[in-house]
Order: sequence, then C-alpha cells, then structure tokens
Amino acid sequence: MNKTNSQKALRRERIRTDIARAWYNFSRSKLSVVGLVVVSIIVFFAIFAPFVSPYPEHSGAYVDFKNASNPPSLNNWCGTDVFGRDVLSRVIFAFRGALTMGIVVLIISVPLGTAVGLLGGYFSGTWIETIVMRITDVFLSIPPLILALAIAAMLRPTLMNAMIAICVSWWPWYARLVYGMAASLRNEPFIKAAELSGASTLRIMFFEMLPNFKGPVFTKMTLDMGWVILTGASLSFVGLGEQPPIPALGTMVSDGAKYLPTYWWISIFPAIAIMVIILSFNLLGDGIREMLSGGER
Amino acid sequence: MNNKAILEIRELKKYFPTKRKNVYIKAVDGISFDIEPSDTFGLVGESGSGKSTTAYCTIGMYSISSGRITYTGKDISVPAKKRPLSLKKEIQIVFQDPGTSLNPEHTVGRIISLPLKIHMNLKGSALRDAAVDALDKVELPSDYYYKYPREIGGGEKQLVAIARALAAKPSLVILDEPTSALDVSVQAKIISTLRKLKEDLSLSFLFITHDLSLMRNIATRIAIMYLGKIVEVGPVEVLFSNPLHPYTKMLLSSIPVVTEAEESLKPKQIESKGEIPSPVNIPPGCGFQSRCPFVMSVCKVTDPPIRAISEDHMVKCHLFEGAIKT
Amino acid sequence: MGFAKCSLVERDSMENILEVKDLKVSFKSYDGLLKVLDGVKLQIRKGEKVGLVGETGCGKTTTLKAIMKILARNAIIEDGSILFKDRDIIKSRERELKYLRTKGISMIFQDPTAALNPVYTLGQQLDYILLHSGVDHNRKEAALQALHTARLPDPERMYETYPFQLSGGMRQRACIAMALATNRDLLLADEPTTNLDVTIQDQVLKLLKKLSLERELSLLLITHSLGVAREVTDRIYIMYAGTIIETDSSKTLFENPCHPYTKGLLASLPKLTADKMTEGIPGRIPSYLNPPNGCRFNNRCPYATDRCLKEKPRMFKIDDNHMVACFLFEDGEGQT
Repeated sequence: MNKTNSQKALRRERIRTDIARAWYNFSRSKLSVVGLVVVSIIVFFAIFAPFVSPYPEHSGAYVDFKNASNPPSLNNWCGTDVFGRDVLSRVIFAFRGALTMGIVVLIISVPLGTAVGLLGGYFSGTWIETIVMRITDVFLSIPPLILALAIAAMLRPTLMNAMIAICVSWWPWYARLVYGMAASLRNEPFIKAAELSGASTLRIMFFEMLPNFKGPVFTKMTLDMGWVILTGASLSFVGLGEQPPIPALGTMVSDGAKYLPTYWWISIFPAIAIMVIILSFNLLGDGIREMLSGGER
Repeated sequence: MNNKAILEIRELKKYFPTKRKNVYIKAVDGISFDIEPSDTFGLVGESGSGKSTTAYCTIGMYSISSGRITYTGKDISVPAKKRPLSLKKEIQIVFQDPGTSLNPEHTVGRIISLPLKIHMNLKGSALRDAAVDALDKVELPSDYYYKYPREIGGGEKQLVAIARALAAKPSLVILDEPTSALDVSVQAKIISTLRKLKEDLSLSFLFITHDLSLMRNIATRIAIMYLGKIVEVGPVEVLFSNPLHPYTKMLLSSIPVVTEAEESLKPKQIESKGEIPSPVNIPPGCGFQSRCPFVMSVCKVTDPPIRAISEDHMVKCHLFEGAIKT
Repeated sequence: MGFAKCSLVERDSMENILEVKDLKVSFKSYDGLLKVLDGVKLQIRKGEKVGLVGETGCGKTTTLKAIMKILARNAIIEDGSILFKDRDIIKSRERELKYLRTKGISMIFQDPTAALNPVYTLGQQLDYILLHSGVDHNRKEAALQALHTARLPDPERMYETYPFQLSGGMRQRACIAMALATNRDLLLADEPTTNLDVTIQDQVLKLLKKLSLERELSLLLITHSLGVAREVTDRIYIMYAGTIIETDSSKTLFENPCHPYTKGLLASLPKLTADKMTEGIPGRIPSYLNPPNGCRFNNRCPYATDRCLKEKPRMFKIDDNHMVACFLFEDGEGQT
C-alpha cells in the first residue's frame, strides 16, 4: 500500500493550513507587515541596485566636481557628496554590503552557536556542559569592535575580515539562547521517551530538541540582521570593513560628518537608511515571533 | 528465584543525594515483588510513596542504588544507556501527562515512527504503513498521521503514547498513572483499549495509580506503597475484601464513591489524618507511625518486616505478629 | 436544616445568594465565534453547597470566570444575568463590585502553588487580604484565627512560613485560610483537590464541609469527579457542552440518574464493587464553532430522535428536587 492519493491530499492540506495560520498570526499586527514590506524593498533594491538606482556608475570611482555637494534636488533626491556622486545611488548600493554582511555572519554564527548550545544543553550536568559553556563565556566577553580592530591590525581591513570579526563575537549569543532552552527541555517526558525508545544522542539533539527552538532562534536571527548591519556600519565608520570607493553606510556617515551641519545630506541620508533597515528588521522580527509562537491554543 | 516471573524486583533501593552530606532522600527503600506473564500488577500509593521511582528504575531512567532487577531471568539492574537495544524494545513506558510526553513539534505519524525506525529498521512506505497500523490498533483514524499533538484531545494523545509504546512490540509495559489527567469517559475508553491490546498482544502490565477504584477493576495483583516501602501486597480480590494494613484501610476509606453499594464496601473505622513525613527525615521504626490509629510502642522503634498472612497475601505491620515471617 | 431535605418549592422562599439565569457566553477566535455557554441556569441558596460537575471543555471554568468577572478579553456575554444577592454582576461596573470582591465571593483554585505568592509568608499574604477587606486593627489575630480555622497546625509558626516550605495539602489549606479570612457569603472552589493525594483530599473536603456548616457559607464546587461532588455537596448540577443537563440532590442523583449523559458517565466510572466499566461514551463533544441545533448531546445519545436534532430541550421536572433537560422526561413520562 503506497502513499495513496488521500494521504498526499492530507499532507497538502496540512501544509496549507500551516501556512494560512502562520500568515494569520504574522499579519495580526499591521506593523509587522510594514516591516516585511520594507525589508522586501531593501532586499529588492540590493539585488537590482544597478537597475534601480538613478546613477549606478556613481557607486564606483566617479568624480564630478561641478556637481559636488549639491543639496537634495529633483536630479539628486538625496543630494550629492563632495565628489559629486549621487547619495541615493550610493546608499542603494551600500545595501548590498550591508545585507551581505548580515547574511554571511548569521549563516556562520547561527549554526555554530546552535550546535554548541545543543551540546551544552543536552549534556547539562556533566563535564561536557562545563567545558562547552565556559568556552562560550570566554567568547562572549570579547567586544566585537576591539576584536575587529585587532584583526585589522593583523590583516588588512576588508569586508571579509570585518565579517570574521563579527562572527567570532556573535555565535556565543546563540549558544547561550539554545543552551538555556535545551537544558530546560532535557528532562521533559517526550525527550525521555525518545531516549528510552533507543534514539541516539545526535538524533535527540537535532531532531527532537531543535524543532522546538525555531521560534526564538528565527526571531533572534531576524532581529540580529539589523544589529549585525549596525555593527558593520560601526566598523566601517572607523575605517574597517568595505574600503572606498565601494559604498558602505558607516563610511558614508563618517565621511559626511565633517561637513555637518552645512552639507547635512551627505551624512543624514545614510544614517536614516541605517535606521530604516534596523527598524524594519525589528518589526519583521516581531511578526515572526508572533507567527511562530502565537496562536497556539 | 521465581521461574515463572517475567520481572523480578529484589530489595530495590533508590536513594537521591541531597546537598547535605550523608543525607539522602530514600525514595525507594527496599522493595521486592514479581510480575508474571499476563499479570496486571498494580502499584498503588500517594505522592512520596516511591511508585513512580520504582517504575523509572525498572525502565532504566534512573540507576539503582542497590538491589536487583531481573527480566526473564537476566539481570538488568543498569540504567537505560547501558542496556542493549533489544532490551529497550522489550520494556516500554507510558507517562502520565500526554501533553508533555509527545514532542509538540512532531506530527503523530513521526512520533509513532521513531521506535519503528530504531527497533525495526523500517524506512519509507513500509515505515508509514507500520505507523498507520499502530494507529489502527488503538482505534485512531489514519488521518491522525498528519496531526500535531496540540490538535487532538487528551485521551487521543494518550492513545498515541500507547501506540508508540506498543509499536516496537514489547512484552512488559509500564503505565505511570496513564489516565489520571483524563476525564472519566475518556479514561473508560483508554482502559478498555488497554484491556483489548493486552489480550491481543499477550502483554504484561505494571500499572501505577493512586485510584483504588480503577485498580479494583483492572489489576490482578496489587502492592500498596508508603514512604518507599511496600506495606501490603496480594491478589486484588483478597486485598479489597480483607485489607489488613492500616494505611490500606485509610486509603480505602478516603475514596469518594458514587453509590451506596460502594459506600458499604469502604472500611468505616479509619479516617484519614496527618500527612506523609518528609522522605529526608524518616523517623526510626515504621514509616506510618505518625498517622496510624493503632500505633504501638514497638512501631516507634522497629520497622516491621513483611510477613505472609496467606500464600500470596503479605503485610508489613506489627499488628500481625503471629503470621509467618518471609 | 439540611438542604438535601428541602424541595425546590420550599427553597423558593429562602434566600438566593447566587443565581445564574440563561447565561450565554461566546469567545472570538481565529476560526470564528465559539458559542460555549448556551443558557446556563443555576442557583445557590444561603449556606447551600452546590457542585458543578462536568468533563473537560464543558464550560464549568468559563461559568466560574463569568461569575468572578475574570473572563478573557475575547469573551462576549451574549445574554443572561448573574445575580449575586439580587444584584446583576454583568451589568455592574468594576467599582460597584467592591463588596463582591472584599466580602461577597472568594475563590480557591486547582493549583495552590500557583495561587500563593512565593516571596511572601502566609502571614504577610493574609495581612494584605485583611487590610484590603477593611480590617483595621488586630489583623494578626484575625490571621491566626484564619490559619487555625483551616486546620493548619501551629498557626504562630505558619504565620512566618513561606509557601515553598509547605506540602500540597497544607498549601491548599493556606488558600482556604486566605479565602475565608474575612467572612464571605460564597466560596467558589475550582477543582480544589484534583492535585492532592486522595487521603489529603479527604481531609480538605471534610474541612470545606465543616466550614460551610459552621459559617453558613455557600459553596460552589467545580469538579470533574462525581464522587467528590457527592461527598461534599447538597445539590449537583451536571454540565455538558455549555448547558446544564441535569440537577438533583447529591444523595439521590446517582441512585437515579436520568439524562443519558449522566447515565453514560456513571457507567464509565470504575467502581469499588468491580461492576463492569463501560467503554465510555462514544463520540466527542460537539465543536463550539458549529454547535448542533437542538440538544447538544444529540450526536452521542443512544435515544436521540428527530426532535432532538431540531429543538433544544428545556429542564423538565422529575420530582421536587430533580430536573433533566431531555425530551425523554417531558411531562414526567419516559424512561428512568
């Protein structure tokens, strides 16, 4: 008796109801939907930057001193900087670096942190937990900015090295989060039942415990996108990270800082962009949290 | 050595250490009993009696402090992680609260498939078929395969837990208060399903509950536990028609019943009083002395040994001095 | 005079502490409107002990919450009234309910651990309650008296004890002490002994009975255990799917159950006499989203007729004390 059509239909129905319910919970707050829309726009702009921005060539090495430091106008909605480059176009291109940084950092630190946390939580009460969590504590105490400076001093300042620096100081937060949840789940009857059925340690950690954490972990990931980007902007503000002429939000803010308040648009628009990115990811994160945890009877 | 027994417990002790040196919680303090094939052995007691701890030692969730557990003649007194997979298959457990014994993030189908995957190495469609089969055996519709625990009722969740326990075809099933969290009508369905399954699959049950009325209806032999020790044990009819230990009588007289006929069966002379003492601070002598209406001076000094009143009815009480010692 | 001996007729002339009339409560949810309570009717006289018995999901806790005015935000009271001493609770505003909250009704819950604040001693919690009930002096004496009434040993020591130092039974007794620290008219008890051991349950229930007699305290006991209701109360209301389906004096209800649900429930109970346990009642409680027209038990009732599918039965009288919401007993005819 193979998987019959009725079984397939049931499966499809299951998936359909899950999606519908998820969307209902997510969209209960209008702000979350706003967050989703804005984040989608940012992602779209980042991917299609050359087609969306008014002056794509301004994102590279371009100078036009005749049009330098122009205030916002119909030609340049956000004005031009001291090299005559369109600020709006550069901000749009800067989204690329920002999002790349966010994605890469999270792709590395989330699995790493989660695995460490699962290990510490499952073996809670044993020496394994002690070692694993103390190592985590050590990494937790490293401030990302100082580490990035140190790495930049040792190697060249590049986007890649900035990302490495942030990763090193980011993964422990996930380890902590997952550890707490895993340790409390450790003695729940359904975990005991799995053990008594003969399930292996790895199976229990990744297939029995982990699915229960998707709410807090995904929510944190979404919120973290904003914070990683902010940290990246802080690094590029002090000159670490993406080097000129490639636009980076932090660099743009720092470059324009000396011209405040006269040529305010050079710093302010990149700063607003940073704020919008973080705010929209926060709103999206709230919605995701509602979606994954709300609405359970 | 009882050659007929499927499970033998001898002088089982489980002590839990506390933060203070040399002070232990004596959860189980020397109990012995046998379960024979097709028995439904009932373990009755209130909180602090040690009945759940006994169950968890048997299934291997706890390591034992001393004593011996034997399964079909083989010594199995080690915790689960040291037990071979084939043994894990033989003895299974159903927990009290179906709400927490099923993984909320797994569908029913996946929950039941786990033991099938591990013990019987099934995959793909064979695995799915076996899981649907298991659902069928507990009379749940096959479309429950795709449901999550939160979408089904308490009784149905417990049926899923039972289906999971039986999936690997065990011989001994431990049931730890399986219906205490359920409504009366739902309990009736679960009990009747369990009865049918026990017959169809030739199972033996170790059934734990505090509900004596329930025990009366399903158990073959019963042991009453108090403060880590067995105070009375015997076949169900004998125990109910002739309860001996004062605690047994106290339990029986506390049951809220619904008919006059049942009222007349309750022992009248013992009213419940007092509370179970802390298991850390057990006074010398008999553990029941603080609540016993028949307490004598010897009870405060010596712990009574368990004595046989008749061939299979044993009681641990100084009131029955003249009986044969075991 | 014991209430079991009063007939309904005689009772009409006695004072009603609480009267729930035709209470209809619904809840807004993702899937739609859950029409839970469908016209609940019950009365409690002064000093009477009443049991509200039903299984999970029948709406007994909702009824209780409606009485205490602590329903969830998505609850809608569609119809009906709750009269406490002839004053409609539903129509009253929160500040008008001051009497209710301080001297009228108090409540004990299923889980005494959750009901007690872990960071305050019993004495501090009692003091708080007495203060807010308007007791100005001699609060400590009143507190000790309350602890004594609840049969807690060594009240002086208990006054300084924290909840975590107590066992489950003692905690529930502490809750009783707090509920009755000041004189109340009505005590609501929501499954107060479900989490307790059976010997302790026996002690706590006997205590409730004694206090009710001594103080002329009315008691509304919610439970799913028929045995507990029978032991403690004078009158029992059986609830199913948001409706009261049968009521009778506790002593006689289970000797002569009439409603098919009550009979089914009784037959499913394991009994000391080792009478056969049935397999439960086939079917499930109906969905509150689309409750059936007519009697809500019609999908599980072995005696259901066409009329039961269309028309909802009102309560019919069997005798002075006993009423059933079932067409089988219309006009005093039908099977018993």
